[in-house]
Amino acid sequence: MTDAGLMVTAGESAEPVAVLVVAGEIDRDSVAVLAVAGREALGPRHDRLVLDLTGVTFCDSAGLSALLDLRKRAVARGGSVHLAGTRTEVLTVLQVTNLERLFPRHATVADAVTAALSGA
Amino acid sequence: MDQPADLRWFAVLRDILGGAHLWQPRDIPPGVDDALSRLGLSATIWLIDYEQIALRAMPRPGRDTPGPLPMDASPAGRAYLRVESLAGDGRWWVPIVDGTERLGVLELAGAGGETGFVERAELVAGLIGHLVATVTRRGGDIERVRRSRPMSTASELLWQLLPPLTASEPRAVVSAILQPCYEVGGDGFDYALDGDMMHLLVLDAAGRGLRAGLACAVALAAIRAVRRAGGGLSEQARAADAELAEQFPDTRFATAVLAELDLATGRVRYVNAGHPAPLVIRAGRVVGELTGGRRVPLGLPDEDDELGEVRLEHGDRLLLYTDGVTEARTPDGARFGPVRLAELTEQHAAAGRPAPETLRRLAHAVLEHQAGPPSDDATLMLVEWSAAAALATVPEADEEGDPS
Repeated sequence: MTDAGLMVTAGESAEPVAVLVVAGEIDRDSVAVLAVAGREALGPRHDRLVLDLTGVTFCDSAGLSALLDLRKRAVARGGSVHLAGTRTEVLTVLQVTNLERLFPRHATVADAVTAALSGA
Repeated sequence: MDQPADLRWFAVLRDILGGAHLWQPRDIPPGVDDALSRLGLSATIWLIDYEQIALRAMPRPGRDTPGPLPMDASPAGRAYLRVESLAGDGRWWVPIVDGTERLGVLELAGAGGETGFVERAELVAGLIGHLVATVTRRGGDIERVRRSRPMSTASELLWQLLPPLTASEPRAVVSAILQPCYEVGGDGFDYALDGDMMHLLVLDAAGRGLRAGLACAVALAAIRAVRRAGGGLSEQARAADAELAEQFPDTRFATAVLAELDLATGRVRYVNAGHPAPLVIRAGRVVGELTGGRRVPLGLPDEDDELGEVRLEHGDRLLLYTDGVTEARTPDGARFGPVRLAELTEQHAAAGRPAPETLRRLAHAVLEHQAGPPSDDATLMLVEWSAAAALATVPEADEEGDPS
């Protein structure tokens, strides 16, 4: 799915971990793209989500709300949301709002998938 | 004491107070003008617009309404900015305050200038300030004078919730400013003077517009209700968490700082729910930031209950703000940032300058820094723990009023 500022595509999943590759800017105009893709990814056979944020250059409070919604959905089913390749710009926003402790972060998608599989 | 003069002025106060029971907002200017005509004075009431750029005259029936007066280069503007009565252009300009909230200026033409005149005129102006603040709620005419544009629904909701922009007590003053006034959505603030305790709150709800404004309103009201019932900081924050989670099916959160300043000792205890750290400014320099007491934003569950604590010294300033201030960008992309914010605060907080004036200049500096219209709400709240700073917000005549 695409919006002018944001693109979300499916990555290589490993049940029950779904992987989404996100690129662009997550703001209130583009956030619906991420929200819809995330909900679809957390389908019947996937309760853990890895978001590859290597290509995400911006995330505002609307973006944080969307991430939190996805986390709420995953956690309600006993799952989790992990982040991979988080850039400084996005990490800063997570740190200032004290939300970084809610989203385990990893350098690579592979690391994130391993951690999610192990139930971290 | 000049008893005959006191009696004449008492009659003016009596006319105003007696008539005000039945006044609509638009009745204030003719009512005040009639009362003061007993003393050979003619009165025009000027009110500050929401963006604090110009003074606008309240219309009087049968007379043309003068155009708006800009802040700089007019005696009216100077009287407003400094909260000081002064003479200029052959008339008197007396600040109108509701307590210490700056509402405008009273222009008096005719006689005046005799001993005790300014002190008595300031009494009348203070009464007019209280009246404007209360009578404005009966109808829309005062709001129409003060608004240069219509307000969005979110703004209308927020302004109704907010306390007066400035309040003082003998030991301290608290003042706040937020913009864009007519389209604000998401930001909010509150404070309360409860004996020795000054409570403070700054909120920034995620998103923009009415969606964020509703979340802000819920959080503010939840915190206020618990605080008024005697609940402490942690309980206030948890109440906001519960209400935000219950009211909205999707995630709504608000970053916030909730603080209590003990006006007797200077101790500040606080919770920082994912919000930019407030600054402690002493003798013109940032000496600390409120980085403790951290938890996740309001609306998200958090077991962390730890409070941050800092001790102020007399004369210290505490500056709270939302990231709409520090994230404002210049045309070339540079952030405003907390360093520049601290520098500008030092620059504009000149000795003796009323706290609301420091903020007005700061807020305009932030606007100037930005390229184009603001992309986020920007809120500033300044607390000065200083008796002198509190007095600077009160109009005070000195005995030798300038009659020229």
